[in-house]
Formats: sequence, structure tokens, C-alpha cells
Amino acid sequence: MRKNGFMFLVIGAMTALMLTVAVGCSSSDEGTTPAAAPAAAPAAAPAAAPAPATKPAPAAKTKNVFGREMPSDAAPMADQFLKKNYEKEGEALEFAVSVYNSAAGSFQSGFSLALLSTDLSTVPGGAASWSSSDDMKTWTFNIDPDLTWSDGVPLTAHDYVYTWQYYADPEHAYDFTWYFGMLEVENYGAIEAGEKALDTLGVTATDDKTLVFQLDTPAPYVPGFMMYGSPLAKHAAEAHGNYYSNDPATTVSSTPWILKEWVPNQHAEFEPNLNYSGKIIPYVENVKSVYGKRPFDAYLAGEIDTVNGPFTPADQEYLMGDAGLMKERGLSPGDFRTHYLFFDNQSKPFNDVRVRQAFAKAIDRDAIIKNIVGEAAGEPRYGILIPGFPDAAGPDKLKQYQGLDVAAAQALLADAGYANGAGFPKLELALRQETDLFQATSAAVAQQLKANLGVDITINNMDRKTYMANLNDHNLPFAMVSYGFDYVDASNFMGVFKTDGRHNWNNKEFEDLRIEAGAMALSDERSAKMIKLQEILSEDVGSVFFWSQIQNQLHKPYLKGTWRDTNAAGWTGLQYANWNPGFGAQNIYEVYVGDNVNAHTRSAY
Amino acid sequence: MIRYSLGRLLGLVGSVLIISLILFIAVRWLPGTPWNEAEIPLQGAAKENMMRKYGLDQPVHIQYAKYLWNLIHLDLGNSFIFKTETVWETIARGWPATAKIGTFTLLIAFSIGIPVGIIAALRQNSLLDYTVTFLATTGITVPNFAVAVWLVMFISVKMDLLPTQGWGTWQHMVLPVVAYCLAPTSLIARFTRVSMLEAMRSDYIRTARAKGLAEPVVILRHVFKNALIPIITLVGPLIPNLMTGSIFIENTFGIPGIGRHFVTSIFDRDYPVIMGVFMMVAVLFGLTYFISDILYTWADPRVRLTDRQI
Repeated sequence: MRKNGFMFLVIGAMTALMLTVAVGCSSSDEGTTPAAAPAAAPAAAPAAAPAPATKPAPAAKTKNVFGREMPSDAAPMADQFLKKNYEKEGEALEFAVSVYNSAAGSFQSGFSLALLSTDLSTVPGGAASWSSSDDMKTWTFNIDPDLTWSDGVPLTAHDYVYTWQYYADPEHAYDFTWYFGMLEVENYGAIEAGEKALDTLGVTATDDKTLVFQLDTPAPYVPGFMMYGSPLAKHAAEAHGNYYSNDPATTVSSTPWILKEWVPNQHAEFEPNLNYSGKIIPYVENVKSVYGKRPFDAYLAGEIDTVNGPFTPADQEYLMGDAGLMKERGLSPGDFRTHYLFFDNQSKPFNDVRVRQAFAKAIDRDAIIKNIVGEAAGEPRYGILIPGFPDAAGPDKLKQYQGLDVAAAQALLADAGYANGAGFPKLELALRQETDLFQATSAAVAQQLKANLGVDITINNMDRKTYMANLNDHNLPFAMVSYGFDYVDASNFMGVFKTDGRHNWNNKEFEDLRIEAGAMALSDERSAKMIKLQEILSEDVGSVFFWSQIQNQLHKPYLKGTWRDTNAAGWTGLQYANWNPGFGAQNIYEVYVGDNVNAHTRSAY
Repeated sequence: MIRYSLGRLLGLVGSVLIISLILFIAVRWLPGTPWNEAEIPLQGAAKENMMRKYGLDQPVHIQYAKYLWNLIHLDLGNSFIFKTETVWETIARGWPATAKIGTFTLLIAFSIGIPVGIIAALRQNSLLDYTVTFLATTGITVPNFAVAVWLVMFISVKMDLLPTQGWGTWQHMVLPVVAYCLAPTSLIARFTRVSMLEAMRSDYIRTARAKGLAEPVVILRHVFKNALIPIITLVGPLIPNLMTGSIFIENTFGIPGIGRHFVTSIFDRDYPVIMGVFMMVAVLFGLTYFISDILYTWADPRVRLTDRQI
């Protein structure tokens, strides 16, 4: 009895202590932390009258704060917001400041000169039109005369010139300079090297609305290349520094949305830019990006409206097993990313094309897709370009070079002096800090190469930076990596395999043709050369092309709009899967919340 | 005591300096760069500009000398990822969330772990004892990220009771704390039980009972106080561990804490943050062990603090 009494005394005292401190902490929490997100309508939208709680009568046309008439099946304006997720936090919201350390999902405050449609065609963005000289070395962009910044200052060609100078500025040391450097704008390299002044850059404003690019080499794909070129506001940057758009007090915007609040690693909220004057007008009025590393769960719980894969194998399995969820699925080739296996082509044994060909023909990609990846989540590849991307050679054309043929693979390896793998050095297949799925596919490759060729391979899933340091030094004998497009032209992918580029596969025929085709105007002849390049790449096994992911996405049934329509290549979902207002022309601008929203769980804004 | 304390604190400063040197060399030894080269490697002037921007264009010993000078002035530099922030600001931004989760975890771990351990010891070999032992063993062995994922799936997704991720309200703290506190609670319960049992079998406890002391007095003053020494040894490192967060918990629940910096800063080659967070841990651990040693003297007067070598 005395023991029991003592036990209760101890438990009681401890519980009281815990509750006291908990209540104390809780109170202090309320005092210092902003209140929970209200369930009420999002802020701003002062011009929009609160919508009725019930479905509006068909005759009652509702216009949003931007003046766009809402579809008849749209939900009330209070519901016209989009909540999405972002997984990595960084230093700047603006693409021009940092790409790899971008913040809050990188939500641009200005239009790139050109945007991408869901069919990957290039359509006007910050520029209303463009033209080139016959030699494709001079490109002129006519800036949309309607566009102004939210503070009323007109958006001009000078903003784009300022931004391009900032890209090249050696003091800035831009992390995405390799991309803009690829275009070979006049003096870009010399400025970057500190040899010439910023104002010698071959990007000039001949007047407020005319922007001219002078290139050292011809480029037919310049408009598409400009999809990443969202501008900084020169006047704001000069007044507040180039991080001006991180702070609602100093930010300006020329898109329909403007930063309302950014709490790093928590969320960023964007409200309507009431001074927006552009031609591309959205339906949704407010956008919120919320931070989290498990967006799939957040989607299931109704905390976000949309989520893009690739999902973890467990999440993908969950999706495939849920008939209801499958109805919310969208599919896309994403950024047309192909995963491939590459070699140190300058050293034994891979300096022998027969060895490379043997490897290419010994891998049963279909089995790996079927048994590990799942046919809904991946497709086998025999070349670098995915069907649907401009100038992609069809799989049938390239399968003859890299398709499964175990007998031929064994013969090739024997010809190279390694019959049944005898004398073949032990190999390590290096991975770039890959997920379980990619580790599993790599293990399958190792197993197949052992079974079919007698080659012993171990897997080394390296830390990403260590891997890239070794890749860039060409120190990886055998490794897997991927590449997705940066601009919509086959030359982008061909450049990955240029002589002494990312890999040390140096093929003179390929290199000469690559340079020739890259400088040609878009034409059937150029397309034929691009296809020929892919054939050379696959036949000489610049890499073993392995597989590409089909990006699975989930979008709540109440998210509606033309962006959900099947595109020209047959994909249904969010194409060029990005809600960024600076890039895509038909994604965030065409989405609206349907009147079926109340039938689904959706957390408050 | 004062002399001992001063000696220990001076030793801590020396340790921190040695750790800073080892850490500085180790992080620069890692292959890779702070900037991203995932697509195409930077070359020529672009690479030189990056080296200069990150202060890596000078010999390592010069870099370290500068770092040390700044460290003496409590300047940890700016993060390479959040360039507009000093490392102090990065830590200060994340620590409140980590500290809240850690504090609640500690409170629960102690509030439940110690009483449960005591009860199990007092009822040794009873059903209650077996149950506590089983649950504690389970709590220690099941990894917190597995518990976290399970909680999200059932409590948030299936039952829609609490948010899956995020920060800002008390609801956001419940699941992380539950997932995080299982292991320390179990550990404390197990240690308390074992320590109590050991102390209860001691001669001085028999003597105390023979003197006719009331059982609560025996348990509280003699058994529990003596059982505290191994518990102090255990909870010493537990406190800085919990107060510096967990990448699994913070990633799973989207908590804007500092726990993830211990891993992500290495992956990002964010040298200033790597140095800052690991130095912080070194100091925290040093201070915790120092405080633990002081507490030993309270728990067991036979322990004497001395800076003399015996």
C-alpha cells in the first residue's frame, strides 16, 4: 500500500511537471507564432466580391480579380487558390539570382521571353514576337508593350539586358552560367573572365521595347532557349539589391502574382498583382507553396492540390492499388529525362566498342521495367531522346543497336578477348545518390551482366557531390546518370556527348555532324542530321541508354482547365510539369478550381 | 570546484579548436564543390569566379587562419546555400522549432520513462514489469522514421486528425514529438529500472529499511538518488542529441529545424554550416558532460571533482 502510494506520488509529480511546462511552452508558442491559417478566404482579391456559398446560377457570370470570366463550373472565388508543395529551400526566389539554390519552388516574378505550351511549342511570354537574321546570329525580341512591373514602372528591354549582364557578371558567379554561356552570346565568355566590361555584352536594348541578341555562332533554337530567361526588375535591383524579390516590402512583379509572405522552410504565399497588365490572364487568384518532404502524404490528406512524381516505389505502389486515386493521375515524360549507363571510353576495357556493344545488348530493359519499375512508371530506352521530343529517332530505329541480343553480346565480348567474362576486370557501377528504385534497377543490370556476360559488378551509390566530382574528372569507369532537357531542341542532348564534354566518348563523325546540325536552320534536313546523330551515339555506344521515367502526377479532381487535355504527343496531365508562372504558358494560367471542390477534403488556404 | 570548472571550460575551448581544425580539413577533403555541377561542369573563368565567390581560391591554411580569426570573433561566416544569411542566422532560424520538439520530447521521455522504470523495478518480475520491458525494448528497436511514416499514414492520411507536415500550430508538433520520444522514453525507462534494481539490492538500502525508515523515504532518498548516477550518464548526451534535432523527424514532418543541416550541409558542401552546426554540437556535448560531472557530486557525495591526475 505504501509502495502504491509512493508510485502514484511519483507519477503525479512527473505528470504535473510535464503539464506545467507544456502549458507554459504552449502559451509562449501562441504569443510568438503566427496564428494558424484561417479557414476564411485568402487575403487580397479586394476587387473580387465574396462569392456565394452555393453554386452560382449559370447566367451569373463571375469575373476574377484579373477580369477573366470564370467558367460556369468554377467554384466560388474564395476557393480559387492553388496549393502546391516544394521540397528544397534556398537563397532566392528569382531564377536569375540562383537556380540551384532557388527558394520556395522558384516562383518567378517576371515572364521569360518565351514560354512553353503543353505541346512543347514556344509561345510569347515577356516578348510579344521575335525574329532572326538570315544567319541566325542576330535575334530580335519585341517586348510585350503591355507589361509593367507592379509598381507601375514599365517592363522594358533594359530589364532583360540588366539580367543578362548579371548572368555574366564575374562578381555574381552565377550557378547557372553554364546554360546561358552555351548560347555563345557575343562577349559573354570574355565578360565572365573579367576581360571585358558588362556593357560589351551582345545583349542590347535598341529601344525600350526592343531587345537584340548578337551571337557568335548561329542558333535556330533561341526562342525556346529563352524559357529560363525571366527578368530582374532593374530599378528594384538597383534600389534594393538583387535579392529584392525575397521581401514583400521590396519585391515587384510583372506576372499576375506577387509575393505576400515567405517564411523559409515553411511556406511562400503569392497574392494577386492588382496592377498586372499582361495578356496572359489566369483563373486562380492566390498561390501558396508549402514546404515539406513528403508531398504524396500531404496530397492524400488534402493539404495540397497537386503533386508531381517521381514517387517512391512504396507511394507508386499505393497509387497503383487505389482505383480512386488512379482517376486523379496524370502522366508526363517530365523533362524527357533518360537514364543511361556510361563508361570511361578512353581506358580499357571500354575503349573497345565491342565491349560497349556487348554491354548494351546484354541488358533486358523490358524485364527490368516490368518487374522493378512498373510499366506505368517507366519505359525502356535505346537512345537518348524520348519519343515526343522534337527530332527523336523512334525506338525501332535504335533498338537494332542496343536491343537485347544475348548471343550477339556474348560473341562481341569474346571477340574483344573476354569470352564468358574471363579476364574482365571487376567493375563498380557508380550511382549518383540514387533512390531505392534506381538502386534496384542498377542491381538488376549487374545481375544481368553477370548472368549474360560473366562480368562481376558491384554497386556503389555515391554521395551526389562526390559522384559529380568524379564524373567531371572522367574518373568513373562505369556509372549511371541521367539528363533531361534544358531547352527544346535535340542539340541540347547532343551537346551532352560532345568531345571531352560531360563524358569522354569522343567520336569525330558525331562531333562534326553535331556542330554542323546545331548551326542549321530548323528544317527537315537538320532533323535528319539530328536523327543520324542519335544513330551514331547508339551504334557506337556513347552510352547504354537504359530507361526513362513516366512521371506520375496527382491532381485533385476539382483542379480543372485545358492543361488537363491530352496533348499532341498523347500525354494527359501536367506537361512540362511546373506551375511556375515564368515558364509554362498553359499550366498555372489555365487551372481553376471546379465547383466539385466541396466533395473533396481540402485544407484551408 | 571553481578551479576544476575553469580547467574544464578551458579544456573545452582547446577541444573546440582541435575539432575545428580536424573538421575544417575533413570537409575540404571531401570531393565535390559547394556549387552545383549536376548537369555540366563549370570550367575556366566560370569555375574561377565560383572559387573566388566561396573563398576557396586561397590555400587551405590561409582559409583556416581566416576561419579561426573569425571564429574568435564569433563570426561563423555566411551559409553557401542561404547566402544572405549568416550561419548564426541559419541556426537561429531553425533552432526554435528543433528546441520545441526536443524540449517536449525530453519532458515526455523523463515524465514517463522515470516513473515507469521505477514502477517496473518496484514490481520486478510482475506482468507489469514484463509489459514495460517489452514496450521499452520495442520502443528502442523500432526506428523513429518508421514510426513517423506510420503515424502520418494512419493519424493524418487515414483518420485526418492532424496535419501530415508543416509548422506553426500545436497540431504540427504532436506527431513529431510522439515519433521522436519513443526511443528516449524507452531508454530512460529501461535504465531507470535497472539502476533502481541494482540500488535496491545494496546493503545501505537494507540498512535504511532496518532503521525503520518509511518506504517512500527509502525509495526516494536512498534508492532513487543512488540510481540517478547511471541515468545522469545516459541523459547527458541525450539532451544535446534531442536538442539538435533529427533529420528523419524533420524531413518526415516538414519541420523547419536544424536537424537536417547536419546531413544536408554535408551533401551541399555548405562548409560554413557544416562547421557551425558540428562545432555547436561539440560545445553542447562538452558542456553537458561538464554539467553531468557536477551532478555526479550531488547524486553521490563519494564522487569528488579534481583536476589532478591520480
